[in-house]
Amino acid sequence: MVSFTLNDAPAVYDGDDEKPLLWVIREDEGLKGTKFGCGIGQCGACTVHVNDQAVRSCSFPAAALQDGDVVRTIEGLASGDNLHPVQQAWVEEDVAQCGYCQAGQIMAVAALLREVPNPSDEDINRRHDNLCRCGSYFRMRKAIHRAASLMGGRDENQ
Amino acid sequence: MKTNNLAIAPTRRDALRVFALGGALIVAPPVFGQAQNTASSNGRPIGPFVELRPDNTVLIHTPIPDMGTGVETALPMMIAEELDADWDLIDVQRMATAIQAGENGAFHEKYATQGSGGSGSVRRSWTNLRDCGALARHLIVSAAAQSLGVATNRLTTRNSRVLVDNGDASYPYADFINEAASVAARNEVIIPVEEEGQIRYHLEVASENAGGPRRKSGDDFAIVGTDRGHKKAGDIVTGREPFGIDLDIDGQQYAVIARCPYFGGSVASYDDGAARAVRGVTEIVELPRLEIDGEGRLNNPGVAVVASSLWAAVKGRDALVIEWDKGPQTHENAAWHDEHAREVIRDSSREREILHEAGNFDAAYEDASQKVQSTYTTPHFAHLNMETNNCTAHVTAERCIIATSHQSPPHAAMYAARATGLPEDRIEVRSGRIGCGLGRKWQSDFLSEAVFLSQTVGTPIKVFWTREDDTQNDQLNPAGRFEFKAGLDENRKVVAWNAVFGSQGNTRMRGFPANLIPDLRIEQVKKDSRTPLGAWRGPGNNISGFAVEGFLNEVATAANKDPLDLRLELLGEDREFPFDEWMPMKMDAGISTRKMKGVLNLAASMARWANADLPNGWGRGIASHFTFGSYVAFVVDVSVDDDRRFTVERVFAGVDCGRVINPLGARAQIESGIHDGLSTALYQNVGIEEGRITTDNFHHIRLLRIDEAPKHIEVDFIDSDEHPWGTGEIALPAFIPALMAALYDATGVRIRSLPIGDQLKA
Repeated sequence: MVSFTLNDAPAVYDGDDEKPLLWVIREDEGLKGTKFGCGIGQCGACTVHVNDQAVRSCSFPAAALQDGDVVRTIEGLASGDNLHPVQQAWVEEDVAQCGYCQAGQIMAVAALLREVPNPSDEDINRRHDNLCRCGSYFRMRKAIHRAASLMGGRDENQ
Repeated sequence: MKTNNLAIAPTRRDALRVFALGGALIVAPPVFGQAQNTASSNGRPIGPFVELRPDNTVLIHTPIPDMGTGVETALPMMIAEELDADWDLIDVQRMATAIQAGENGAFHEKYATQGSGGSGSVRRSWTNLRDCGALARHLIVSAAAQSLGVATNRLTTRNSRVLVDNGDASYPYADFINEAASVAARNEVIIPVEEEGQIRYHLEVASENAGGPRRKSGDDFAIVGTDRGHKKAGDIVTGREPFGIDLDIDGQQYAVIARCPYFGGSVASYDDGAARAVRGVTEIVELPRLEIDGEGRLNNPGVAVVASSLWAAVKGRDALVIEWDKGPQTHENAAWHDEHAREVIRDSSREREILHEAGNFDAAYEDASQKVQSTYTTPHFAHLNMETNNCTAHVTAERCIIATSHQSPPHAAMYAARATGLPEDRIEVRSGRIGCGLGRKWQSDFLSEAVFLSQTVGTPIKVFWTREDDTQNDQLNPAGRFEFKAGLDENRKVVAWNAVFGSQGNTRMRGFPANLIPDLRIEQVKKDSRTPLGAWRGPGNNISGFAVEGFLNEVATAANKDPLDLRLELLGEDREFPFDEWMPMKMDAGISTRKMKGVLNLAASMARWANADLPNGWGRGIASHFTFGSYVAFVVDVSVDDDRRFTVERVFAGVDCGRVINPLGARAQIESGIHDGLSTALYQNVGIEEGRITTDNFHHIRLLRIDEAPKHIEVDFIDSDEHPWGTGEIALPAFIPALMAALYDATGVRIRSLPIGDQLKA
């Protein structure tokens, strides 16, 4: 049995150690915002934060969860009605098309900006590799820069 | 628009249904199918409709579920425009699915077009949804006139308010809810029309003089034609918007299926001992090859593991030991497909379908002073939707509920009605947002599995497809081989053109230059293979764009002509030709040289084609294509480094899709086609060995990532007040050949075979 925090609330898991965190979140906890895409950590649709790090939850077995771990999903990213700056930027740049991958994209970018507050295009190229089948990358790149600006006052034109 | 001779006696209540419910005004257009009026307020589906609520917000039930094409924004914009609504006061909700039985066991969509395909959502909804908004506005104004005691000609509307004498006094729409509900609309008549093979009932809006509602003139549009962000954006970025896979039914179990991967194969025997031992597994069910009348191929047969949790079902499936009967197609593999296409084209005894013929190609080619020949090939493409196929079904003796993300919920309902034998009013299809469809989610196989398993097991069943299931049981875009010949006269003018397409599937090569060259023959020869095929973004156009436009660029090189000049010369004077392929069919606007020249000139002007001053190592290309009624031209700039790796530096798109409803959303569709075109050209190449798909997950078949995406994209639209056409599928067929032309310009390597692979390094 493992006790952890899920979106600021206490949670407990006591089941198959091999079950990926994705299915703990979706099926046991009923949080459907985190998506299945590939099951092998290739696409990033299932990205969540574990202790502030972006994790591909489809390939993160429950056994890897430790007591006291802090798990955050897309449902817990905003502060109440106040969108996280990455979410805000996603709305302002009208990034989503089908939208299925976007929760994972947003969680990955939120974690990226914590480590690299003002990413260059090269930083984005090197560090962001979630898949989007609709091809929203052109707007996504703008939204990443906009989110950085919203978070740190970065000049958008840089 | 033509009327038919069905005996319909439209009644007043068919023409418009208006009722007050919970203090709100609800306005719904007439039933589309047979004249009957079953609309009520007690939970039966109605719509598309406008619900004006006491707080002056408006809820629009939008008929077509969104799979990324932006229809849940664009379609409500049409209603909001005619309603003169404040866009910020508009809420959008997916409309319930509604079908009704017709004659001879047929079913029809009941209220509106609810399916998403053929880039047709906008063009099929444009008239009906505007009428819906205009009717609602008409009612409100009539009620306001009555309530305020002023003539309607003193009333105008703006931003969800009624203005008296242009603003001396203004009132929110909601002030007139009760009066409007009692106002009878006059002079509405239902006109049955045949549209794309189905009988639909359009509302003929009475003339303004007759006191009926009227649609606005385009000059007065305040919402249509302006950039509007996704209405669902807030729900998407917070994870609240449910997709099909997220829809559960109380009491559901989960099923994961081991499907026979061999084309035409089946289950020979299986041992489920280990699977049954997995904790949580409740049943093992063999799935036969399901067949019902009126449906094409359904599922691949297999063995389903049913469990109390999804993970248990996955583990149970992994523990199955199955021996497959590999069926009759084990000779099919990628190399065989290539060789077989070559053979069927060479085989003169094989039946050839002539898709288009003019003059005498053979004689003209014989006489040509310069001859060009070339062959283009494409592999099978997979759909790779991010949301894999899924369906949750609950079938009892009384009713059938399906929860899924199907591109056409009415077709899902029609399938369920046929499969269960239940009357259509006992079928409920719950539609989630669609995590991309690209044609794959129009099929019924994933529905058939869930319906069968729920019937067999007796509980609600959620059928889950892993990524490997999704890829290996895909219905692919057909591989194709195109053999071209062109003849030039002494003035280097193209006078003869022949294209032969060898494939298991169909092509679309009847647009341009088919109508432009005097001696021309376009032919198709079918292969004998049985690889599962289905619609894939821009069916037929997706690969013919690459081949035809690629060859046209080769001809331009051979003729020593600028590829833009060659196209403009071929297109010549403004002309329109009839065009009767599958799409656009009705509302056939033909195919126009003026429009194609328009988009070519637009893209060329955006890119400064004539004054290109490209850096060293760059190349530039151009191509255009007509897809489903819309015209697109691209100029693409690439840079190529010393290792022959390329970057798409700039993309310029000129688009004529008629009137643009939401430019922000329409640009997104073009951007999407560009990204998909690049991804396809780089990576799509489905492996087939021993009569089965061997490609399984994203490490075997890559998709474009952000580091590979085009660095700069500009999209511009021809200013048009014509009927709106679609944008979802139109960009990819023109983008790929423009990209190839740019790579040729930069490297001198002509890519005639997809994917690009290592060809630039040769």
